Amino acid sequence: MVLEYIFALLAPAAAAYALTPRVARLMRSLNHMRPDVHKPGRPMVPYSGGVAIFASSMPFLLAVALLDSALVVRACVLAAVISIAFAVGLVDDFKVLSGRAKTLLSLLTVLPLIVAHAVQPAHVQLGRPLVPLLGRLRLTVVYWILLPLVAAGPANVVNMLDVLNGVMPATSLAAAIALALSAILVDPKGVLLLLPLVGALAGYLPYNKWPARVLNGDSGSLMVGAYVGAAAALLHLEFIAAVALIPHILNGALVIVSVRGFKEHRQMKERPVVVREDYKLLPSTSPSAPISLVRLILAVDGPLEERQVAARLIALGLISSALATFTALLIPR
Amino acid sequence: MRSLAVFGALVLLMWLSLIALLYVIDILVIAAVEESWARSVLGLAAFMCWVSGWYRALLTLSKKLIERWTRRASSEH
Repeated sequence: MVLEYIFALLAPAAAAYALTPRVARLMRSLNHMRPDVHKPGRPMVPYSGGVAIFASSMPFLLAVALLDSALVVRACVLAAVISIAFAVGLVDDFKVLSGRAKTLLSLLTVLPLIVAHAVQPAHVQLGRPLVPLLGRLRLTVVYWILLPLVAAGPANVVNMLDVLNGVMPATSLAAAIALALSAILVDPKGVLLLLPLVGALAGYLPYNKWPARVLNGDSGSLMVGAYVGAAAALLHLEFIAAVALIPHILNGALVIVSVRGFKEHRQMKERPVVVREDYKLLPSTSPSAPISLVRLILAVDGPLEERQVAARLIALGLISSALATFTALLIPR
Repeated sequence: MRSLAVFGALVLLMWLSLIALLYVIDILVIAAVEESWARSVLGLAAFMCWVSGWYRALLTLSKKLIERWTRRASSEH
C-alpha cells in the first residue's frame, strides 16, 4: 500500500523533471514560443509546458487504476476529464480561441462525470459533497445545475491566475496537496488519484518558477484546474477545493465582473498591469482596465518586480490551502 | 508585504465567515427545520446572501484600492 503511494507520487515527479526540458526543446524547435513580457528584452520562452505536466501525470494516473481495481472507474473518468481540458488548452495554445469559445469548450469536461454517474453509480456518485459541520449533503437539484462548473470552473479560474512565472504550478500544487491531505481523512485510497498531479507539478515547478524556462500555456493551466475540480468531485471534496482555490476564485470573479463576461486576455483592449521601463509592474490607473488580484496587490504595495508579485500570490495560495486542509478536519465522520 | 497582510486577512475572513455561516445553518436550519426541501431552500438562501455580501464588499474594496493608487500616482507626477 505504501509502495503504491510512493510510486504514484515519485514516478510522475521524476517523469516531469526529466520530460519538461525535452518538451521545451521540442517547442523551441517548432518555434512555438511566446515573449515573457515582464522580463527585460521580452525574451522568447518555449510555450505549452502543459504537455509535460499531462504526459507525466496521465500514464501514472492510469497505472494507479491498474494497481487498485477499486479506483479503475474514477481514474478513467479523471483521465477523460483532464484529456478534454488538455485538448482544449492545446488547441488554444496553437490557434487562439475566443474567451467564450474556450469557456464553452471547457464545459465539455463535465461529460465523463455525468456518463460515469449514470453508468457506474456505485463508483461515481455526484451531488454528495462533504461539508464541514454539516457532513454529507444530498443536493439533488442544485448540484446538477452547477455541475458544468465542477471541472470547468476550476479549470478557468486556474487559467485566469496563470499570469506570472511559477504561480500556476505552485498554487495548484498547494491546492492538490491540501486535497490529498483531506482525502486521507475521508477516502484514503482516493489519495492515489491526486498523487500523480502532486508529483507532476512538483517535478515541473523548477522549470516554470521565476525566471521561467518554459511557459505553461492553456494546455497546462486548464488541465491542472480541471484535474483539481474533477478529483474533488470524485472524492466529494468540492468544498475543500473551493477553499483551496479562494485566491483563484477571487481573481476570476473580479476579472469577469470588471470586463463584463468571458474575454480572452489577448482580446482585452486594456491591461490591468503596466510594465515600467525598469520592468517593475504598476497597476493600471485606467478606470476601464480589468480588475485582477495582481492589479490590487500592486495597488497596495506599489511598483514590484514580477517575482515579488508571484511570491505574494503563491503565499496567498499557501494560506488558502492550509485553511482548506484545516477545513477537512471539521467534516464530521 | 502589506498586500499579503491585506489579502491574507481577506482570505481568512472569508473562510471564517463561511464556517460561521455553516454553523448558523447547522444550528438554525438543520436542527429546527424538518422538511428536506425547506432546509435546502433556507440553506441555499443563506449561502447566496453570503456570496452577495462578499461580492459587494470585494467590489467596494477593489474600487477604493485602485482609486487610492490613482490619487497617489497622480500626486507623484
